Amino acid sequence: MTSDPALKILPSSRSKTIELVLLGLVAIVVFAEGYRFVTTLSGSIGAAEAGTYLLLLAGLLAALTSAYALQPARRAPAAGPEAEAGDEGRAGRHKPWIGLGLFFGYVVLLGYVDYAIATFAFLAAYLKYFGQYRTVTVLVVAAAVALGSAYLWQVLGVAMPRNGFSFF
Amino acid sequence: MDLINGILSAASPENLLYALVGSLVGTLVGVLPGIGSISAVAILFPFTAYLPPDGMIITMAAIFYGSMYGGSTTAILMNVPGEVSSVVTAFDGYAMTRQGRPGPALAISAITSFMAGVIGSVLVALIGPSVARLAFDFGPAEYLGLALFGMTAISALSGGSMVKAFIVAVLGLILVSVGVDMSDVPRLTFGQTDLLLGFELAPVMIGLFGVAEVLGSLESGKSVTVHALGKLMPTRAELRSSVGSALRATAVSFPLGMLPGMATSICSFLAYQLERKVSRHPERFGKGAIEGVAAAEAANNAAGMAHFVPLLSLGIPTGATMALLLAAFNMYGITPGPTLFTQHSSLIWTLIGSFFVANIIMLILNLPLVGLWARLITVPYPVLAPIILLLCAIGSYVPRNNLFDVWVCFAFGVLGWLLHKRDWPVAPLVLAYVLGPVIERSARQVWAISPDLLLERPGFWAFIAAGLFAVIWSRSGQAKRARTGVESGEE
Repeated sequence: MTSDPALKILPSSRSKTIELVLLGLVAIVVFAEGYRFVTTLSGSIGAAEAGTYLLLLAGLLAALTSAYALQPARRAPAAGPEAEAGDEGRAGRHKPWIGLGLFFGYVVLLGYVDYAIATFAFLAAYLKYFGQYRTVTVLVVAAAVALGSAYLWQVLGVAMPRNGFSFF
Repeated sequence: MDLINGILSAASPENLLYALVGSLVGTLVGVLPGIGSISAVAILFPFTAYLPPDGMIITMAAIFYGSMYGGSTTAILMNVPGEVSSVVTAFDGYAMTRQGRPGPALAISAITSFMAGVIGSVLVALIGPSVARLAFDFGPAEYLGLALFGMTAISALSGGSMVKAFIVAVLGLILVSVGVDMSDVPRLTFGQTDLLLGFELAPVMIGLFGVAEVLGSLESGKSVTVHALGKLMPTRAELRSSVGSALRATAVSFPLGMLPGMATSICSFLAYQLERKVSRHPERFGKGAIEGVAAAEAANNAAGMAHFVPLLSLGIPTGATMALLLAAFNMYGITPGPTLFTQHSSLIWTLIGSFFVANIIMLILNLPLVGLWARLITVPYPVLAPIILLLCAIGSYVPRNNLFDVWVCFAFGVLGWLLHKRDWPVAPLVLAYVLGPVIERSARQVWAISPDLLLERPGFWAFIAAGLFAVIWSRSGQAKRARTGVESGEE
């Protein structure tokens, strides 16, 4: 474990450009909202103050973003211990995206099916992909955790999304 | 007298149970790789909402201690610090493990944590009410100054680029502005009814820490090796030298820990450096010096306790975990600050009493359970990660029974992961998210009374000066490091 910033993969100029564009967009949106408050809602009590606060934040963000833009973009080290040890890391780069995709699917499912079913599907997919366990093991573990947790939440009085048919 | 009543109240069967469960759950979660103390508190925070106010606060505080202890366990046994503040513990703790002596390292970690925790609790009880009395004269100008100081300090001292830290802090202020404001005007909602109430704190925190940490762990794909525990207790000589180290570390870290932005990691590192300086054998540090473990752990706990002083007395959190505890207070309509010690005297003394109780529980339970915690570490991450994500989703859903909050958790998880990946600090965002309403409310009150009010209040300028000092201090430190090329970590 090291916190040495020099050993981290630092933002390239392209990544920095994306960051600057996004920050600029946020500043513009916040400025527009603040401006709308000050100009069109000035009749409402407190709207002018609320708008001024947003204008202030937008200005601050724009100023800081400009300061960040002026800082030179640091390049990732071309080679070195980190780069050499990075093959495994590069191979694992897609993993968080797949994990994120599975989590996304889980949240979507929670909106349409019962908690236990969504949880079972999420766990089964996750364990199968990342754990690479046997299908029977995956199904048993996923079912046990899904049903067990659903029962536990019910006992604890924790409300769960309920769609379609319910186990508990 | 108040303190004794508080300890007696905390030792009541019901509160004892909350402290016990909180300590155990916190340690369990803290031990598991991939979850630090902030993530543990963030994920478990919504589940404590079903408890009465004192039960919730006691449980949260116990989860905080427990997860801190658990983080140290993983640092010592596997060189995987559960949180940044345990990095220093790993320097000598893991070296001892490699020498086949993880038992004494864990024991010293528990004993010195207990010592620093108890001393810290006494100091909180002594200093907290005095600071609160001082703050009775605070008006909106002072609160504005204090909140700006807290945010500036944490941005300046978060390490890395200060500009990035301030940008993240401003983003936090913008995000907390979403929703109906204090004059009932909807801002940044873009016509979406889901956004009218803004982003609930729990999903924001769970996303930023819990989900982001899982994604980060998936990327790093760390594998861990657990060594055999062997003999647990240290020798008498080791115990004696560790007690001295722990006392010195506590004396250094407690005052520092009261300052906003002064993370426990900075305190433990300073205490470790001090210990190395005063040691007759500084060359042993980093190679398994038990005094190094003692200093780091005592400093962690002393600073952790010190964070409660500004939180309880002034209502200002010094870090992300304290921000969550502030949210827990707010959930019950209790506003930490000068009046807390008078208006909610019973609750606050029970909380301080629970610090003692939880420390004792941790000492009694954790040493015998070390073997169990060590076995838990071996749970494969592919099994652990989906369960953490599951808890993140449910923890986000629970506070308002609203699926939109799970989406908020997802979005903030992506944001937290990307921020971490691109070397942007997350702590200033959290502080800004919690302090944003204080800043806006105080600024609008000052504006309503008279902007000249700021000129008449020296307290405001004192806090602004302190914030500027933090910026200058941090800049000069960065410049010095750049000049000398000195690395702050141990190889």
